[in-house]
Amino acid sequence: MKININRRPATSDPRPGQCLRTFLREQENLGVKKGCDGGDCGACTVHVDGVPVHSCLYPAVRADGREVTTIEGLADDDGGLHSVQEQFLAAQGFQCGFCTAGMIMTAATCTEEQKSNLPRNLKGNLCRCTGYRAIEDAVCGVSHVTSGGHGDNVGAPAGRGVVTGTAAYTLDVPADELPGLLHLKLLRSPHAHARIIAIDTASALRVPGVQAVFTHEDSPDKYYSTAQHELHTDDPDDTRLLDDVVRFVGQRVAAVVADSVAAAEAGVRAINVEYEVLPFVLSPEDAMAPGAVLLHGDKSHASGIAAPHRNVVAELHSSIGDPDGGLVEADFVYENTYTTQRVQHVALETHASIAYFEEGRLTIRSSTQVPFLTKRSLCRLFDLPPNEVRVVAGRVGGGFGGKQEMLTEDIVALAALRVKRPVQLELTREEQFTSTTTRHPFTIGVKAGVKRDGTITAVVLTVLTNTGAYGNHAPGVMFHGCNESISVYKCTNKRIDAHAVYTNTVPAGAFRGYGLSQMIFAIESAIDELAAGIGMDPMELRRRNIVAKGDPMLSMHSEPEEDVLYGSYGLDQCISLVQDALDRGRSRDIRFGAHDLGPGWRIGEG
Amino acid sequence: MIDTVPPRRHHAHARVSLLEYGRFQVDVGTAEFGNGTTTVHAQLVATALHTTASQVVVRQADTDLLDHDTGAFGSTGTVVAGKASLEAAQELAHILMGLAAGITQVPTMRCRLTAEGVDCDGTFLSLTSLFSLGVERDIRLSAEGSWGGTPRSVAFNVHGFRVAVNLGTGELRILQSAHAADAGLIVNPMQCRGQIEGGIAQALGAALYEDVRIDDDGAVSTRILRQYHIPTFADVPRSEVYFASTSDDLGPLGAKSMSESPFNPVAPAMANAIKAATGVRFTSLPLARDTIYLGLKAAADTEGATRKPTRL
Amino acid sequence: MDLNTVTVLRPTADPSEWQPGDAWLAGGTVLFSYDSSTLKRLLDITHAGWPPLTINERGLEIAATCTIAELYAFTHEAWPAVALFQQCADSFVASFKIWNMSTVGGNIATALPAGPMTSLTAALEGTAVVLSPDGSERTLPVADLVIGDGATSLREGELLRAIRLPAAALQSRTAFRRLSLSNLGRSGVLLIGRTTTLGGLVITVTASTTRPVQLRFSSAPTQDELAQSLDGAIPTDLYHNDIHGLPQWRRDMTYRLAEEIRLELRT
Repeated sequence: MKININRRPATSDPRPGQCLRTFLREQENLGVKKGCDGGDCGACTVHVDGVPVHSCLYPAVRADGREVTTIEGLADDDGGLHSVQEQFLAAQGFQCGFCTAGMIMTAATCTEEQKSNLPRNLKGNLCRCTGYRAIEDAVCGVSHVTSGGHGDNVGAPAGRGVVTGTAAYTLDVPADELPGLLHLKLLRSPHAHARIIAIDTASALRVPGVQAVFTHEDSPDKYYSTAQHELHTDDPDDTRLLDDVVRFVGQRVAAVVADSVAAAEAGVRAINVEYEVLPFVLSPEDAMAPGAVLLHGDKSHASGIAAPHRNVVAELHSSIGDPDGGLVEADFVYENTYTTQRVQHVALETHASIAYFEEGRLTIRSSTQVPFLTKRSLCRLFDLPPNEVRVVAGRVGGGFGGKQEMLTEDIVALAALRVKRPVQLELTREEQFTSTTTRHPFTIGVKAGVKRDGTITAVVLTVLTNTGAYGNHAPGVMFHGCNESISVYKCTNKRIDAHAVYTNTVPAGAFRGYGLSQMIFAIESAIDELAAGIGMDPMELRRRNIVAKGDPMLSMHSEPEEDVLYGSYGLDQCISLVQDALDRGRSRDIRFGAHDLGPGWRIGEG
Repeated sequence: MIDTVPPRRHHAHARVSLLEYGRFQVDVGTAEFGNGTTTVHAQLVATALHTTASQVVVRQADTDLLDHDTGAFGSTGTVVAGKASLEAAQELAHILMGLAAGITQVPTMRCRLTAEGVDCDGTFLSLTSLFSLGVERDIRLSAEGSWGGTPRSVAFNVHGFRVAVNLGTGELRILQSAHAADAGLIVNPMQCRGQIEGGIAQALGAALYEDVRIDDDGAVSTRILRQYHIPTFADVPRSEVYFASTSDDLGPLGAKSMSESPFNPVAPAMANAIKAATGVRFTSLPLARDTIYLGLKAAADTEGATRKPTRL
Repeated sequence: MDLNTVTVLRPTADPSEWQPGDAWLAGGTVLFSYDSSTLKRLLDITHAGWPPLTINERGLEIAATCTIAELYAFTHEAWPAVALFQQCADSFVASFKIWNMSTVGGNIATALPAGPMTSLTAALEGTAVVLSPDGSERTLPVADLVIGDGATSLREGELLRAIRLPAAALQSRTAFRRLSLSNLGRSGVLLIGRTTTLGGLVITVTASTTRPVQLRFSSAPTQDELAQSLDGAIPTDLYHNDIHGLPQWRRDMTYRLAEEIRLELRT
């Protein structure tokens, strides 16, 4: 076979079922990224004979006789940048940069006509960080970067690395730096709730290339939380590295370590597990009902679970002022129940880590937001002194809270400590969805009263959050969600009853906003309804009720938190800025006749 | 509204050192995952050392570099870690001026740190020579800073939409999207705008269609991106982004956090705009076109049913 | 992604070579988008050298290996229905980059309700040419080839060779309607109408139903006739239910778009 990559011949031939993406990475073109491995995200876009393709879908053997160009070879060999790379640098058309190589490789083939319809021509390239405005500016040649210091639009120091594909993310480590690297794959539970009776690993161990198989019998007999906080006691200790009870479909059952990903996968398929299937519960309402199956009923209060016998991880019952009196005093009372769904972070770089040894010391290179806390957690889990563990992160391809967890580091550490060789685990996009974490779904009952003059008299909240099978971040998300969302209103009559509840579903965890987005959806919807109830403009109602600088910010306690201060206050400005913008926009639309979209359309602002 | 730092402590340590050839190195614990804090550290350090960000090299996210760092979450990259690196840089500035003052025997108050070196009342010592002098005299030209995440301030975000809803299909068009943020004195307006735009886009996905579904057996049924639609270029409108003009007493050089909070007001603003357009209150997310259409239809049916008796 | 169980990639388009554990490989954009635990061999049909688009006296023959990009670029002045080629290609949730690889045959054989090549070729009365392992060849309407969500009437080892579109259908006037839950997203409802030479109307419903449904009228139907015909042709459980649209929405939108098509093609 003769495959040219960036004007040089490839040094080996691809395997029959190999896609071009992994072949290019094996050939040390580490700028070719995996976002989905299924043709959806475009991060792996390369050119084959000048034609842009998603290399994750391209059978590698078809590149025989062809010239493949990756981000590393887009510019001429003179060390300069391609014009599109220059443009992405000048506009800073990236944030984490994991999608950038694919964006640039796509944009570099766009004709002027294609550039005039970017919604269509860039729909095969997903970015989770930027909101696309910066990418549009980059493709269209708008420049933003200036030099300087504070207050200036300084470009990211890693910018050149990002646009040339040389910025090193977690797995962008050349093979010769990790001799003897093994790959880890996980067998995951097909059951929502089951006890493992027996695991037969014998045939897995016979698969050529398989080096070791780990099950709950190899797991440290310790409970911890995948959530990472400054105080580890903030989260319940309800998780084992490998447990003999599985509590959601997708939970780890066993780990296979092998010479190649293919052998590890074959090893996973060869494991036989005998399960005792247990009853399961999927909704938090059912989970709290008397007689419901208990997920962590075997654990004590010392685990940090508020009420293991009721599936309640954490609860909050607070009342300040006189909420009932406030409701009586109100001229209008609004009551409704709001629900929010499970949402996934979809950071473009999936969770991944590599465990290896540096002069005998365990080192973990991971896609994490919390290297120091992960180090602490690993030391606790494996009884290692701090000087025997190092955790480092390369550039991280997006986080959004999903990487404030220890979801891969613990298992690669276990494997590496046992086999004494470097071990790598890279989650697939499917594993991200089925087996990592999501935003907590909330069910929020709101009851609130308002007087005709626009004074909010009471806010009463009933909150139920679904933390899934494990309680990582469950207390924090619940408490945080119930705090700033209502302390921004100066009404002093507030009652909250909240529960964070286990169910046999994929665990929820930390996610941008940390409970606030769910609560704010309910509360700000209710504020508009209160305004409607007394015939007042909703923004006017907000102006009358928001805290002003110096007002106590109260939610669960009648005294404000001592260390939260108004370092500055700009909420009034923010309201005016948005209102003025909407006013200008509305006038513009009316002036240009864009306000009327025809029959069947209704326009509204909020 | 959001507190600029999570409760129950958030620690950051930083070390700023003068390198050979007059550049500076800052070691921080926080990771860079697109939040832009690397640039912010470089800018804060550069400001304290009277130089430009391009003269500052950032090393980060390695447990070997520093004692401890709680990590990059809770929107702390700028506020907590930034305060630590700013403190370290300010201390290093004092050390450099002190060293220069000692050598030239000019009182420190008459010494001035510039991008090139220290001007001691007319006698100039370059950063390169200060580095050599430090090595000669075994003085570490390096300083550490830390911050424990308290006291905390509050940041604010407001979002507004004007939308059009097609009553016949449920189609939703965003005619205008405007966002205002109070992030204090902004270190890097371009990056901060990017954080806000990204937060709006991610929140629009959650407001309009993202939904991890669980089947009757408890398994996630949305397992690939074709079954879990995240916003594409075609889905995200250009938002107008405005900043309140404030300067925070607690944050580094007046800055506040701005990473998580732009997400929060988007869904309720959308639901309120849809209510204003259609008269129907939607109480469940996501507000996909099918849900909107069926919600409008159900409301119309209910209205029709309750009106019937009066017609009779 | 890598298909790690595959050990052989063999260039052949001969169904007699097919054995269990094999898959026909055309563009690869579907096969390589899912992992595999069972596939052993890929039989690569792109080496067969089938001409992608062949015009003959009966109409147009589209090879199964014709890429979406090739189809998109096709023009023919005498056939107004060719306008649908671009409309349907633009209905792919996949980007133009995928079109450089993925094929008409692959999209039909994948049999997703929202497969736009199924919509296109079913609406234009396409006949599928199927090669069997025993050396025989059979033909059947595309509308009968796709029988459910991800299900076809292809038997083990059979290979989709081509789609034949009759000239009469290509000469007809067409109307195209599509709705998706997101901008340029996957089709939740896709309807195509075409007039017949005798003044009739054919409406093909895809995406909203788990398999293509065709309504045939010998003369222009009234609004009521159209609605009644939909009532009869599509039982409730035939409306597809997935993340791309609730069945009740798909149902109401099917009626709405069908009526829009009826009005557009009435004159």
